Amino acid sequence: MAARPAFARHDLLTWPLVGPFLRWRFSRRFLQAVLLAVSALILFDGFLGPQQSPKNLATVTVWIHYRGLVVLALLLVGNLFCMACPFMLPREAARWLGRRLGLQRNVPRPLRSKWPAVILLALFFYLFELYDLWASPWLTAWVIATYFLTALVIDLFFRGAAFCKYVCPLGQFNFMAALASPGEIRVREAAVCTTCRTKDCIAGNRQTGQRGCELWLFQPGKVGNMDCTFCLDCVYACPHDNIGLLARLPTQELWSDPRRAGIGRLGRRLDVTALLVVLIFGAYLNAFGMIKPVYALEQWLAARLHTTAEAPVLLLIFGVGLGVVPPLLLATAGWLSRLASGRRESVRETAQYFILSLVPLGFGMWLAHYAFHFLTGALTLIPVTQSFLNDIGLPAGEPLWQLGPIVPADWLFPLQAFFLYLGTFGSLVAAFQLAVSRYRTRQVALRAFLPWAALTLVMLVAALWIMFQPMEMRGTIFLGL
Amino acid sequence: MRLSFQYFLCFFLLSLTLLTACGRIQPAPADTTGVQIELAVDPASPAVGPARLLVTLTGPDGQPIDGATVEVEGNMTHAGMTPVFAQTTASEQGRYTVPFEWTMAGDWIVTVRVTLPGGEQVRREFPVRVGG
Ligand code: SF4
Ligand code: SF4
Ligand SMILES: [Cu+2]
Repeated sequence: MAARPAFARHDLLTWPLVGPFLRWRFSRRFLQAVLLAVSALILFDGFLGPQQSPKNLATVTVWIHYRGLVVLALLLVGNLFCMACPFMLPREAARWLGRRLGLQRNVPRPLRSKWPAVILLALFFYLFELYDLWASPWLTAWVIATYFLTALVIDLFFRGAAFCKYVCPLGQFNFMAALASPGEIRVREAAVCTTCRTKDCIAGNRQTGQRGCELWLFQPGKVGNMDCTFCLDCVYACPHDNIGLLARLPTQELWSDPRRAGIGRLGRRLDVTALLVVLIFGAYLNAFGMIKPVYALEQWLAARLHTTAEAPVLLLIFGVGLGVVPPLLLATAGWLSRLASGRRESVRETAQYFILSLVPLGFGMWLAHYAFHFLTGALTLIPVTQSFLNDIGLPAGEPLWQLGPIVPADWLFPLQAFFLYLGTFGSLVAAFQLAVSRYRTRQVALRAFLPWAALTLVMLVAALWIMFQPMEMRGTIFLGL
Repeated sequence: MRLSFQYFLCFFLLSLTLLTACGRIQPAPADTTGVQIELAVDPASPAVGPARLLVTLTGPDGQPIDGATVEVEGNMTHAGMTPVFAQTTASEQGRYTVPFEWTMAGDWIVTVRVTLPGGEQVRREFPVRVGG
């Protein structure tokens, strides 16, 4: 009664090698163990190794490889980082302990939202700039250690995947970006589910003891990648082998806003809107923090505020960048769009609905930025690893410090621009489809779409402007020497 | 019996970690030579492109030191950037001129390693901001 075909091109779980590996129940544990071992090395070197950023495994792997590979995986498949999440193994231990000690409870209702993650994300972006986290192996290691600790504590006290769903900033980034990914964990044949009595994908499989979805996504009603960690629990639980990792058109789930199992409608949730604002506009702030005009702006602001401290200056930049500019842009587009459609709805409703269309461009911006670092520095991992091995007494030869980029320098801008155009295209298509699925006629839809198309283009120009500035590897020096 | 083996294994791994940790920590060699290292960059407001680093060595007695080997290594404060190396032995009145190249704008740490004529080593780090 297996619904799995022997081989289907659009279903990764049926492919040779990858398919059997991922369908193996312990594949995820295996991947987690690998990343956990890598994390241990990173912590070790971050705390104890040389404290120059380009020479330490912590800073190199986290800010170059982790960020680069995560966005590439999201572009090509989906949320593969969560699948292999290194925080999971210690968390399982904490859960076990929590259960033994009777500490575990459900997350209280008022906390079941994205707000904790929104606050943590905004805070992280701010601290990232304030303490120049990329410049310090020691601080980078602390960030990771804090991450492990927070995850442990939360899993000690709360049932299910509370940490993934409500807290984890990395997870939220992946959920957001995966909305535009080409892969999705989905049922193969809807008909099989309608005859299914046990609903093991959510309830867990009594026979094998395999748990069901901890993020409360019920497969038959699941739409898209929001909140899905690609953990494959549902795949292992379903007794009919009816769940696959299926291909779809990238961004397709952003073409309308249906009810999503375990989530609801994205456009009706203010916390989700706030999350998207932080992640989309955060992409701009994060890249803006690395180019020359930011010095000038900081200096000007510092003079205005009569301060030489970076904290208030940055706070102002972030406050405006996340709290003032996005609402203004969204309200303007929303207002124009409502005017054009003539539909009776609030500007806020319109904006909350159409902000979904900006996700591909936001992701394109992250992609362009992180790909830059990855493409310019991926090979530095080799000499850094050599020097690490030499230091701990395993001879690995003279470090090949000349290694660095994996593409010629003059490819960088064209590639970045390509990612931005890709994002823009995705955003335009999504905005148009969203309009079509909301309004009665194509005429009205087209009119309502235009302000969002204009906003997308304005944001594209801003993105190109940022990427066109020579990127400066800014670091620890504030306001000159 | 099994248990004690596990304890042994834990102990072994722990000591291995500590040992390697000690190997990894590189305390700056305590400077007992009293040698002063100064760095000046030319042009004075550095920009991307070729440049010169002027290293001045002064002994504890205030006398310039010649005949040392001066190695410089430039690293950006961002991971993923290849370092720039240069060195010289030629000097005049304790002033060493090292041809160098700033490969990218941003914040740099220039590490100057000096091997004195007597074989002792001294090093110092200097932050430098390079304009676009
Ligand atoms: S367990 Fe879930 S996915 Fe599998 S057939 Fe039943 S309802 Fe569908
Ligand atoms: S169990 Fe839930 S989170 Fe895991 S892959 Fe399935 S739907 Fe996604
Ligand atoms: Cu950057």
